[in-house]
Formats: sequence, C-alpha cells, structure tokens
Amino acid sequence: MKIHFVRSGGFGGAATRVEGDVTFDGQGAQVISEKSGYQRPLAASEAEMLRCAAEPKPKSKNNPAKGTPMPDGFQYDISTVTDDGKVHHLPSLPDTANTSSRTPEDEELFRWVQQESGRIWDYKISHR
Amino acid sequence: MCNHVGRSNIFCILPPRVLLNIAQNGNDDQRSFALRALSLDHSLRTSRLTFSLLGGLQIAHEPLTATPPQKQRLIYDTQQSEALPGNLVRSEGAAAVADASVNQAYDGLGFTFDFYYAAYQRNSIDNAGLALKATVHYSKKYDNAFWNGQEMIFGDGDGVIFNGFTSSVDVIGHELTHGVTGSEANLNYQGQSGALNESISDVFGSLVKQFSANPKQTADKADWLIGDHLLAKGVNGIALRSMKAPGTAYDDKVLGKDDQPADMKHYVHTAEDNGGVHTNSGIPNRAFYLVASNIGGFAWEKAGQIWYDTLTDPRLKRTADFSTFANLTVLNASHRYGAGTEAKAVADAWNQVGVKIKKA
Repeated sequence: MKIHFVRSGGFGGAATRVEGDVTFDGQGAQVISEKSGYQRPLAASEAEMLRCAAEPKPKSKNNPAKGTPMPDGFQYDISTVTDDGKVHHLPSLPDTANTSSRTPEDEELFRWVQQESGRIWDYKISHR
Repeated sequence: MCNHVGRSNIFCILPPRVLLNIAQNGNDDQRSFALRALSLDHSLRTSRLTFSLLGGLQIAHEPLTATPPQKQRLIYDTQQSEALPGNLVRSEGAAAVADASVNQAYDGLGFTFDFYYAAYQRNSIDNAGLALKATVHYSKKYDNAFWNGQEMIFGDGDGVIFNGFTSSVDVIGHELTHGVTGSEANLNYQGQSGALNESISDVFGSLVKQFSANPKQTADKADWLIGDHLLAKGVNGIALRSMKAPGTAYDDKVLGKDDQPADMKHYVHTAEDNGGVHTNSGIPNRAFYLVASNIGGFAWEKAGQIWYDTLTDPRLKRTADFSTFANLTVLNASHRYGAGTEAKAVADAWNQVGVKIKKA
C-alpha cells in the first residue's frame, strides 16, 4: 500500500502547500516528500497504525460529514493505492472546530498527516 | 431610487454617518427623524442575522442611539500550545503589555472595528456589538492565521519565511471579515463562493490598512498587497497576494510562484484548498481594485460601499458564484449611486477580468 497526502489552504494558500508519500515494505514504512528532499523512516508500530487508519472503508450512504472547513484553515487530502493498484480517495479532512463528526480512525489519520505535514514544512524552511 | 418601505424620504439618501451627526446636533424634531431612520436602517441591515439566529422568528430591534458603540477586545495567549483560547492577557481599555504580538492584535482589532463603524456604521462582527476575541502565539512557529467561527487565531510564523501573523493589519482585517461574512451571506467556503469569501476578506482587509494608514490612503496611493509585512527578509516576494496584479506577489524557492489568476481565462480548477479559494480569489480581488482605481478617492467610500452593500444584500446566497456576485455589485452600485459612473466602473471591471454578469 502507498499513501499520498497533501496539505493545502491556509492563509497563504499555495505558498504553504505540502505533499508527501508513505510507502510500506515488509518491516515498516517510509515518508518521502520528493520536492523538498524530506525522508523519514517510520517505526513498525507507527506504520501499522497508519496502515489501519488509511485502509479504504466500504462506502456508506450515511458517511459522516468530515467537518465544516474553517476559513483559512488547512485542508488535508489523502489517497491510498492498495496492493491491487486501485486508487482510493478519502474525503478531505479540513481543520475544523468540530471534530465530533469524525471517526476515531479519521481523527488519528488527520492528526498524523497534520503533524507530518508540519515536519515537512519545517524541513523545507530549514533547507532553503 | 429609494425603495425601502417606511424609510423617511428626507433621510433615505443620507448615509448613516450623516444621520448620526443630525441625531447628535439637530433640534428635537430632526433628532427624532434621524434616530427613526437609523433604527430602520439598522433593522434592515441586521434582519438577516436576527432571522438566522432566532430560527426565523423576528423580534423588534432596539433603536440605535447616537452614542457610538463600544469596542470589546479580548486578547488571549496560548503560549505556543493549541489549547484555545489560552490565557486572557489584555482586555478592553487595559494598557499595552510587553508582548508586541498582543498589542498588534489588540490594535489591529481596534482599527478593524473603527473602520467598519466609521465606513459602514457596522457595530462589530455581527453588527450587534459582539466582543472581538483573538488568540496569539498559537502553536509553535505556526505559519498561519485563521477564523474558527468564534475568534481569530494567529501564529508566530517560523521567523525564516514568515513573520508573526499579527504584523500585518490587513491580515487581522481579513480574519475579522470572515466573521462578518459568516454573519451576513455566510458564503460557502468551497469553489467560487469560497473564493468570493476569501476575496471579500482581502478587500476589506486591504481597506482597513488604507483607512488606518496615517495619512489615510486613496486608491492610487494604496499598495493593494495582502500580507506585505508577513514575508521575512530574504524571501523573494513582496507579499502573499497582490490585488492589483494577481500572480506577481512572490516567486521563491520555498514558497514557489504566486498562483493567483488575474482573469477567468486562467481560472484554476482544483480540489485542493476547498477548490482553490485562495487562488481564484485573485479574480474578484482584481475586479475590486479596478473599480476602486477607476472611481478614485478613498476606496472604502464608494467601491467598498458597493461591496459592503452586496455582502449584506439578502439576495446574495451562500452558493453565489462570481457572476451572480458581479450582478449584485452592479445592482447595488446603481441603487446607491444611480446608473452612472460608479455602476459603469463596476460593470467594466468585471468585464475586464472576464466575469460575465448574470442577470437575476
């Protein structure tokens, strides 16, 4: 499985955009942000958490809303490529004041992508 | 031209600022008329908010008095955590503190409040005196500022690319205007309505900057930049956005190149950023700049008034696209100033940026 994520939005819009890929192997996983040169290996436990959280879920007509976006908040888009080559797009996860509509897995994934995007951004800045 | 039922013919063409002067300085009869006209005007402008807040029920409005409304500013500090709102560090009337970000937020909210009241007689975000809350030092080296529906939140910036987000008064005006938009048309934060939401915040954020400058700036003296104090030294750029020339604000190794289009031919179709709300806002931003420059003088007086009338126009729906917004700006320009120079300037500006005016 492979996970692709993008942070967009924010007051700066495209100026603060960040993207990254998580690739899994037998032992764990690695995060790469090609454009910035960022790389970080994930521990096995972190990789497993991420794999479970990003696992494509069956679509439901009653999919809960992911929260109303806050003006100038960031938006997080996540897609996964499963081992059979299929691409699954998860609904966008915005910065929101109301997280109660999210499942615990969504919230876990959101927090991880939010933190990792922050790490990539910090890396870009420190290597300008 | 004045179609509002129940408005006095004497006062219907007078701006509320003039009515306030009459209320303060006129004789008893004049004062009575002025206060009645102000009350009706206030009712019209706030009826949508009241309707919304009360689930559709209408209540009688308290008549406005001639006493200007009072600011209620509350500045909080999360001390680089994300636990909102943080500790209260400065409230209304309290002396300046040692922390520059706190004072910048306090002053910026004050400038924005004063601007809205002086220019459009708007009493705070909700036009009903809502306290203005802001949190500074949110998170660590946070490169963002946002409106969470209740308050403005400002990061310190990373110090390498971005300075603190309280350093630009237009950024503070921008965030507070998201609150105003939320109280009025409440434009959906997605696609073209989202780009209009963003643009309206840029427009009034820029007007706050022009209004609070010393001396106040006319349209030809303004820089029409958003976030010109935000970029740190060494960044190849002059601001985050240019309303005058969208797409030219920066071209930097870390930030990339400013991606804002200046017209509909270059409209960006994307799913990111809620459908490119910070990108395509360049189009209505430039339309406003063109209107303000064409009319001349202080931009908040006519161009800003037309945009404000449109933002508070009950016909502006949450899902409005550029064309319907453009049509309403022309209608409001004609309604307020007649079918002359101003309405033509508005129609010409939308034409220049390639937005077709959709007739209602």
